[in-house]
Amino acid sequence: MPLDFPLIGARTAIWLVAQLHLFFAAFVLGAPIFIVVSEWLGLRTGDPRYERLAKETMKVVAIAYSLTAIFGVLFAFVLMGPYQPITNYLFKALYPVWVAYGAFILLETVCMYLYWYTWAPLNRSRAGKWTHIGIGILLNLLGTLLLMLMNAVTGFMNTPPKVIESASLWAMIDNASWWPLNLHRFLGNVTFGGFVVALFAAFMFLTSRKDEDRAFYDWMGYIGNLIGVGALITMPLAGYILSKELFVYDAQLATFMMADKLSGYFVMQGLLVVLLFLGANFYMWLSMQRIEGGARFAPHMKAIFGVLLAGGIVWVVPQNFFPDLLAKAPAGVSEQALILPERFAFLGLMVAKALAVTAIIIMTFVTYLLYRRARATGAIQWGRIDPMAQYVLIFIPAVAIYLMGLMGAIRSFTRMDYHVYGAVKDVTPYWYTATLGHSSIVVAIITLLFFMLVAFVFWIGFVLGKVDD
Amino acid sequence: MTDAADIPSGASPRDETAAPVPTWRERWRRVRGPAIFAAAALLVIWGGLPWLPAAWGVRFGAPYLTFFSLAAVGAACFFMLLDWGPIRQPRSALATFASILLVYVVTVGGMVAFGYWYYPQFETPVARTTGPVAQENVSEQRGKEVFLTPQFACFACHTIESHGIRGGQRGPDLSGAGKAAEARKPGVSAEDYLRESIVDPWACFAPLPGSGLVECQAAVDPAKTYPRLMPPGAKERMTAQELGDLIAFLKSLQGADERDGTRN
Repeated sequence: MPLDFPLIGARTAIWLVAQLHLFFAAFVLGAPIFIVVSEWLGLRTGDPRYERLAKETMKVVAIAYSLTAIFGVLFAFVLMGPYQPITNYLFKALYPVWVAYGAFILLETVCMYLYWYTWAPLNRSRAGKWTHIGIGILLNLLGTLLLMLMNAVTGFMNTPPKVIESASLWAMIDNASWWPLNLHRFLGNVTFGGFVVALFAAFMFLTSRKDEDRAFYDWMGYIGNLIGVGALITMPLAGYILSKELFVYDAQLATFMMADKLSGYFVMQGLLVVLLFLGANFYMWLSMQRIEGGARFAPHMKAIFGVLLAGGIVWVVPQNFFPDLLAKAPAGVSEQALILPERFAFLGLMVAKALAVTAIIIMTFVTYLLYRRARATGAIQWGRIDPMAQYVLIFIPAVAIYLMGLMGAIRSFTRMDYHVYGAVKDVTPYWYTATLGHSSIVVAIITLLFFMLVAFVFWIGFVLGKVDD
Repeated sequence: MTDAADIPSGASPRDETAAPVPTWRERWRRVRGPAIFAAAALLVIWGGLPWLPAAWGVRFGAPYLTFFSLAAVGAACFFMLLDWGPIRQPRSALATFASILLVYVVTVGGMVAFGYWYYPQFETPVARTTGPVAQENVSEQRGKEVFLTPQFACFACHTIESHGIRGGQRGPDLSGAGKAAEARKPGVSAEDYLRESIVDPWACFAPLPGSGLVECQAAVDPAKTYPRLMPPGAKERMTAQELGDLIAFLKSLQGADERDGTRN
């Protein structure tokens, strides 16, 4: 091993910078998708709030872009130090991908700044506005291509071609998990972007002094959450597709993920997703109360929450409390105490879990239908929402960011003790799978760091500027 | 996403963000139902379930009782929040930021509490650099693929801990299958024994690790040998090439520490 990292070790070091880079990258790739849609909606409907939403979010993206680049560079530094052998291997194996990645980063950066700085000049005419939207679409195309290029590298590390020595470049790019990753990460980025926009709106709502600002940020938080939840309900399916491809690629991954060392990670994933759905539905409950006459739907919604909680319990209850296949019951504890009683063993099966997820998704959909129904008969009083709703919009991104960090760890750990699964061994001192406890602490630190950085972006971009105004 | 009935509340005064903030007495009246539910649920979980007859099949271990307790209290708290009523918006920037940070830290802290303190952890190996990897020849590599092919599903019952293959636990760990095969049947080569144990698995039963036996047993002794779990008929489903490769792979498995000696 060429180098280690002082105090925290090479793995934690690369984990920190890679995950922070990925968080910011997910936001700067995901947010522009609905920024452009929002700009287009503003043009089509004439509602100025869409334009403001698009522009303010883009301002956050422009500042966050620098942080993405900074953590990208730090990521590269750590790769070049402790992880030099695998970095060299990946560069050699996928050299054209890296060249294209560099070129697309340059193009995307040019396009991003062009999009941001031409906002006012191109806003003067309808043709100019369409040109601006066109630049935004180009920005998204380039961003999606960048995402796909990096997914090729990530996918290659997880599921390289079986006969790697004679594999063509295309076979390495179009590996078994490439398309599932593209789908999963694209939807994940939209979800993430939506929730970060909601976080921004909550932050701005709570710091706003004008009522019209609060009305706007209330609306913006609602839209951000709607986008986040809309994409979130597709995520379990995208996750199943990715898992299925991994299982088909190498069936021992199924055991490793669902019954062995990563099983606890998936219990925690279930808990996090349930919390996301509960948060999203609770927000809708609070939103309903700012609609005139919305309170009449409260009994229906309470029934929905009952189903959500029951589904959540079924999803999260572990089939057993053994952390891996080789674990034994601790001294003084019987094995039976750590396993679901036979009568309830069905709750540990995927069938029960899948049914629970389906029920949760359907109930969330019903919540939105109820909201639509309430909106059709009563006026929404934007800005007159319980401030607790803003804290829910802070809670949801906290859970979403944590979940994304944890899922990143899961994806990485499915390689077991390989850098490139089955081909390049991890010969660093950190070849082993980290415990859930260790991962939960590292992900918590990363999540908090990301929050501090994002709060800094909001503050420097909006609060500080407001004082000057 | 917008509606003709949307009303921007530009004219509303600052304290009218929502309905009036209720008093504590009013809050208690609203949330006492879920609080009583939580207390009753905890009483049933800890005071009732452990005392039910074992024959009923509803005896849960302490980790499950803790899980159900957390779920009941969590659900009650959620329903309390629903009826809690409007809260006050922080009045200073510092209080706003502190409240946001508090929500964030408590959320993330809850996750750490679950992942670090509540859920059991597997053993972490001592961190050290792994040694060189034993090289497999082409036939052995193909055999490993056969082992991992879902169609044959060998891994569903067998783990090969020395190779990091975490399969099922019903069959024996095959880490030392090649070495063990040399002594399973006197006068029979390891290769022939492995072939017989795949194509005609019930001809001779592998002894259990703690049985003290080395040779396989023709007659089934449930106390000393593995039960009749090995699926017969592999020769009909495998090609000769696949079978040969699988045997080559199994023969190459020479012991638990053969690969890097650091497996936990």
